[in-house]
Amino acid sequence: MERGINFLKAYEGRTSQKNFVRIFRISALLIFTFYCLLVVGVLSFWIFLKKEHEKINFQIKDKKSQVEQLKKIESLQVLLKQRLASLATIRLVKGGDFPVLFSFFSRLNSEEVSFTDIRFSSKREIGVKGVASSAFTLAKFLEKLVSSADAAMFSKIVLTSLARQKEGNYNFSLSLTYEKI
Amino acid sequence: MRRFDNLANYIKYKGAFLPIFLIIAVILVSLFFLRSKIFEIFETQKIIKKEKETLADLTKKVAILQGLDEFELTEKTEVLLRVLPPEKDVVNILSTLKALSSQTGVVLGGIKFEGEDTLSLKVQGDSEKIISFMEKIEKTYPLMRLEDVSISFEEEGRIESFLKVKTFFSPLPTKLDSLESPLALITPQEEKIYAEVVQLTSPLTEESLETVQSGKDNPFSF
Repeated sequence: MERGINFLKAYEGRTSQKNFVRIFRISALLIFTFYCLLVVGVLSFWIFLKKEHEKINFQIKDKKSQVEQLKKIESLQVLLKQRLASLATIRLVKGGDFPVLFSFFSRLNSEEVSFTDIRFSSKREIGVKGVASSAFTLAKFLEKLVSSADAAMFSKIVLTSLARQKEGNYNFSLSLTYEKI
Repeated sequence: MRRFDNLANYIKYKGAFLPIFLIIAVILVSLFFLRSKIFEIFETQKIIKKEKETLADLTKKVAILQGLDEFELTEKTEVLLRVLPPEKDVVNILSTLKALSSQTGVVLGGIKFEGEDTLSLKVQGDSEKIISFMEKIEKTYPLMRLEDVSISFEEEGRIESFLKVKTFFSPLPTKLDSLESPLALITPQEEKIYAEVVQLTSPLTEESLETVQSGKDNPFSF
């Protein structure tokens, strides 16, 4: 059995070692360059943001001074808005529409059936007191009241009391609840 | 034997260790400084985002304010201050009621204040006059509203009525919002209310308008 000696083995080993170091150096340099670029990028972005911040601050200052100059108009607008908001709340609570109701009852007032006292409240309750010359006229009046076109505005019509007087008249009282006018 | 191998390896790769140490050192040192900058970037971005919103609000506000007509606003607020005074104006209310009574022909009796904003009054006249008086109360400024009405029918068609009238006032706003706060705009519903309210009249101004005489018909006549 013959054994050969490889004289190139040591040389090959040294060459691969050198190549490894070279590749390692190049890749390290590349990584370092990339990292440096990253640092520069971060710093540039930081400077850009600072400038942007300053620019926006300047613009805000400018706009604020413009608003300050228009303060008179702003205060007028705020006052107008406040008054209208208050009026909206007040107008939400509708009045009793008393003139319409009073006009309606005035039309019903006659010699045969006359009213002595009418009370309208903002709680939509109406109390009517009156005198009727006879039971027949009172019945006729009540029929007229219930069948009239305007009777739809009342949700409830109740004859609360009826008393015959010595003279033959009838004192009566009505309670009405109105819905809408 | 193993020790000798490590030493041999070190000698083999000693050319690569120096740059590794240098790079790691530079990265560590710069990271220490960069860290604060990176945090600052995130913070500044947040601040800029908020400031951009503020700027947008302010720009919008300026545009709205520039679009508003000062003369028109003054006119409207004057109307609304007459309709809804900033404080209880007893003299104006009483003068208005008195003027209304003389306009409609009713006899105004005792006027009494009940509470802070309600007053009761006795009114005499025929039904037409009282109806007209009640209608005018709700179509007049300063704003008033009938709360309760009690009517007694007397002899010869005379009517006596007791009215409870609620008066209104609203104090002026004490301060403006901050410069950045958005401007509240008038809604269509509020425009409608203004259109209703501007129809209200005052018997006092009508009277004063009647008495005002200005200028001469012929400026050249002596």
